[in-house]
Amino acid sequence: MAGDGRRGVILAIGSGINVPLTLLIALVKGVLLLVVLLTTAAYLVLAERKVSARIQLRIGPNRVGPGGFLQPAADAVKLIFKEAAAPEGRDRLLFELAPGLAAAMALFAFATIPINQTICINGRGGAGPLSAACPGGLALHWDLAHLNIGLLFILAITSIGVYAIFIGGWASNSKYALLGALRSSAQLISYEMAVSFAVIGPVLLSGSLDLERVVGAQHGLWFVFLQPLAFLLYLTAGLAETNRLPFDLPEAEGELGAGYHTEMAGMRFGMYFVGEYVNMVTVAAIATTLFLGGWMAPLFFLPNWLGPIWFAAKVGLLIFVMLWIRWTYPRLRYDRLMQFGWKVLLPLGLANIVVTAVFVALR
Amino acid sequence: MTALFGVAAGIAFLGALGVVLARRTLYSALSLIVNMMALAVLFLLLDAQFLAAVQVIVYAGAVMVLFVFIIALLSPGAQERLRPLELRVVVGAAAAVLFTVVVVRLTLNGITVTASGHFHGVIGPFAPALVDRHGQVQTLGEQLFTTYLLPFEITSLLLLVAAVGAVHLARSRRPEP
Amino acid sequence: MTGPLGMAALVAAPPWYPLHFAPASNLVEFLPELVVAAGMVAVLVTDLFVGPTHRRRLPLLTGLTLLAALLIAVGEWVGHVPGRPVFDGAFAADRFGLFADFLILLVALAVTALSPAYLQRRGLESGEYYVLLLAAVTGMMVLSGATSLIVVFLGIELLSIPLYVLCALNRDDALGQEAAIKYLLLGGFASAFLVYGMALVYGETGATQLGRIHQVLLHGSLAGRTDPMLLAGIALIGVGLSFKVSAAPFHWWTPDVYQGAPVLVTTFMSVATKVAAFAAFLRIFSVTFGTAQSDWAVPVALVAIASMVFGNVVALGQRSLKRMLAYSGIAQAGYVLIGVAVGQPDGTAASLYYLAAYAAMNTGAFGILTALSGRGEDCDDYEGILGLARRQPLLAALMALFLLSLAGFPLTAGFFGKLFLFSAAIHDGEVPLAVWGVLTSAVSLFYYLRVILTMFTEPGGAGEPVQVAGMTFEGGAVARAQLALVRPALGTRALLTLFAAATLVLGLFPALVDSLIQGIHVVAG
Repeated sequence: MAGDGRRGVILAIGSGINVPLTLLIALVKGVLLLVVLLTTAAYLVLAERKVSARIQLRIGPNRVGPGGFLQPAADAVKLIFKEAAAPEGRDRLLFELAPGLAAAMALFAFATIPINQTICINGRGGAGPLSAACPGGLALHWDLAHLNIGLLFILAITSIGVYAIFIGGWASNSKYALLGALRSSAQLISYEMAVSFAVIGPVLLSGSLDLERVVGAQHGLWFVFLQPLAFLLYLTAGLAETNRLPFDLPEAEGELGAGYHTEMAGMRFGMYFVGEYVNMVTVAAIATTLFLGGWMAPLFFLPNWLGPIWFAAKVGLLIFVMLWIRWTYPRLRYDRLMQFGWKVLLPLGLANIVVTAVFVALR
Repeated sequence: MTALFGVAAGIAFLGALGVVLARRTLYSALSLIVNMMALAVLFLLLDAQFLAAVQVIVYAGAVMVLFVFIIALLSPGAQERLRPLELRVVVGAAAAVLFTVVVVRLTLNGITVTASGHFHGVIGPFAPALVDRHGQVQTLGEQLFTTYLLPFEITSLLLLVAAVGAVHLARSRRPEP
Repeated sequence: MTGPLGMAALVAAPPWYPLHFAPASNLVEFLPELVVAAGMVAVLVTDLFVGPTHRRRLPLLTGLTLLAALLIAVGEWVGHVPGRPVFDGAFAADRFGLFADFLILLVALAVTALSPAYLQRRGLESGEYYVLLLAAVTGMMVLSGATSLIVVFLGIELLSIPLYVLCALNRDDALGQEAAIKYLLLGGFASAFLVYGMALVYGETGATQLGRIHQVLLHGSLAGRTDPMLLAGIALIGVGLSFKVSAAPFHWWTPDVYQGAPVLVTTFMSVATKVAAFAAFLRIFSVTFGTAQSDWAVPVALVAIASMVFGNVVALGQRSLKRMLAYSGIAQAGYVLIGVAVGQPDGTAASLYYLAAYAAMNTGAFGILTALSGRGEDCDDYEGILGLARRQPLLAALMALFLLSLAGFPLTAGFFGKLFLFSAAIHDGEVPLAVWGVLTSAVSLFYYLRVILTMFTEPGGAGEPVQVAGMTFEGGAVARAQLALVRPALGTRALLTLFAAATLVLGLFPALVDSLIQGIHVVAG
């Protein structure tokens, strides 16, 4: 069962496969993931502008390339060549490190999300969510790092992400940035609780923190149908975790300039920007994995081997919902935001855990 | 694996040095976080995945956030530089030497880490066979709810009491009736 | 087949299910602690939902909880057996732990009875006070029965954290805040020592249960040899526990904390904490580490002597009643440590007797200060009690009795307490311990008698300084301090009289309690 934990940790090393090959596979996976995520993030910006334009009865960017298709490239060039103004009295080291940390943590969190079922190469036994089902061959996991506590890994990385924002705001030596950073950290920490509570439902039902198994356990019935409340809680808290409207207090323009990254210009800002959009993808991907059956085909007659396609489609759908919400709802007041997190989301999450646990125990 | 261990151990060591030697308090705290993250990697290399995750979530993620908050908001000035022969330096160095001796002795005293990174000590509830059969989190959970049920429940009581105490100290005064 | 619209095939039951829980009968042994903890939650919830008029019932609820726990503990004492360890060797409701529980619960009951009036006078009424009190009692009872290193640590934390907060009960009082922060920081430091020691002991023996550690030391690979790591572990655990019992040289927090905390809280923590911590001290050292006694007996004896000498000598120079009693408490801890150093079974029995005596006399002494404390501040100055004998003869007489008992006067509890300890030491061949004990007791007479003399000296007229035992009292200061004192209600006086009666009974009929103690078998776990 869980013996896979002992087989290799950082890299999924199949028995009988030499280490250089596994390293190579990991490298390829890493590069692919990086490219895909960064491209997605870039095009998300375009998508955001397009969707917002449609919602506001505008057309949106349409000058660079056909239908504005090359707009992200233009944006990137602009960000890179922009003068990176920096405030006096900043903490030089941390000011440079924080944006990088923000982007890195956002990318890092994606590492344990499986986007397809494990494929068995050259081994006996078929493919499936369990690496143990591939004796003698190479079990190709469709995540960068296969951890049997994958979900905890994501929570851990998210909790580190707070530092990027707080340190960035603090190192700027500016009161807007510091206040934004304070708000943001408080918000992230509060909503992290809600996120943790929401994800326990699927964990209880599947009996595992291994994301492949969580998806495998949804065979036949997605958890969104068993855990509708947890799904809503996760999406709500996830919105807050990505600092998006209606929870974008950290950068509430009217009050705080641009919040924690007020003083960041050029690529420093670009890093935060990338991090934010990658975080959206991550939140959508986690929701897909935990509640929407991950790579599984949405209807039983559709072929399952198109796993990554189904996965991407579900993620895309969720991201669209997030964009839609952003351009529809106004911002919450800060005290309301905290109250909502602690007094509404948290008790609901707790109730959901209790009910689910009773259900699992009586089953 | 060995190379990875070397890297992680080196970072942990540098982080620990940073805690002591950094002149700005915030840098000390951040070094401690680096140290904790490196320790988490070491746990991973020892196949203690759950411990690694908890190390990051609880220590690096939760506890240290408060440290960093407080330090950043109080903004203490730079520490004065330590003089090498100051009393506290001498005492600290002596304690460090003593501690090293203790750890080395412990290591020689039956607890060994083999080349493959597996831990061999006294076989407790986390015997490899058991972990292999049930998985780590499951074994831990089972132990918590059976062997360590009483300590586990007392801990929950402790946390409740700590929360009550903290609220009592921190909240604004009750209005006079 | 694979879509969400296929048949609902729920996930199979996980492989580790069902779990093998400890049998529910284990809870019976834990029942007194459970009752106090449940009472704590009940008080917390009641406080949340009732209005201010009903909040006055909280002390009643607290008292009933403690009483119920006391009755159950008595039932367990009478009903059954040398308690066996339950919850995989984590906890034992043996008579040793139950005896400590009795003392803790009785002290807590007395403090609860003193609380409403005192808190009202000082404007400190809050539901949290009772919650924290019950939490600390739970922690103490857990500690007294703990037979696993983990539970020992949790018990100590569970009793300490509420006390840290209780010290700062009065948030307008800078001294109280200072006491809380000192107690918290040094307490955390001591906990670190304790945990480090436990980790070393665990590393050497591979067990956290005291019983298994004892078995390993008796029969395992460590039997019959001196292991430096184990000794280091024992030493660090000793340091941590010495801090909790406030023995020198780990006592530095004691005077400031005892003085800064509201005297009501000081009453509770000076007695109950010491009883619980000594229960753990005796169980861990005398029983679990009993095989290594030759290694730790001398350091423990040195700590005992240091406490007796330091506490008694420094108490001589105090001008604050609370500080004087704090240093006296350090000295008393030294006396009890004699019993630890002597070891099983004589030393343990003598220590338990002394703890019973200490619970009676020290609760009484601090209780009188609590009862006298008025609206403004605690009764802490010698000026206040000058001539107390004329104004409140009963309280003065009781205070005199308690102080004489603390000094070890014949016919009082303290006399037999010290007698048993010293004779156990002599019996065991530790004559120097007994000699130091007698010498320092003689020193202590001076500062105890000084209080008594002060109480029985008439204050002079205005502007007319009075001299008592080396202290000069200015008329104005005396008048101010005395105005602050109150005359306690009848119930309070009756309660304090009860404690005086207990002090006398323990001094006149020692066999009553000693026969209980002699039958005690300490379970190692």
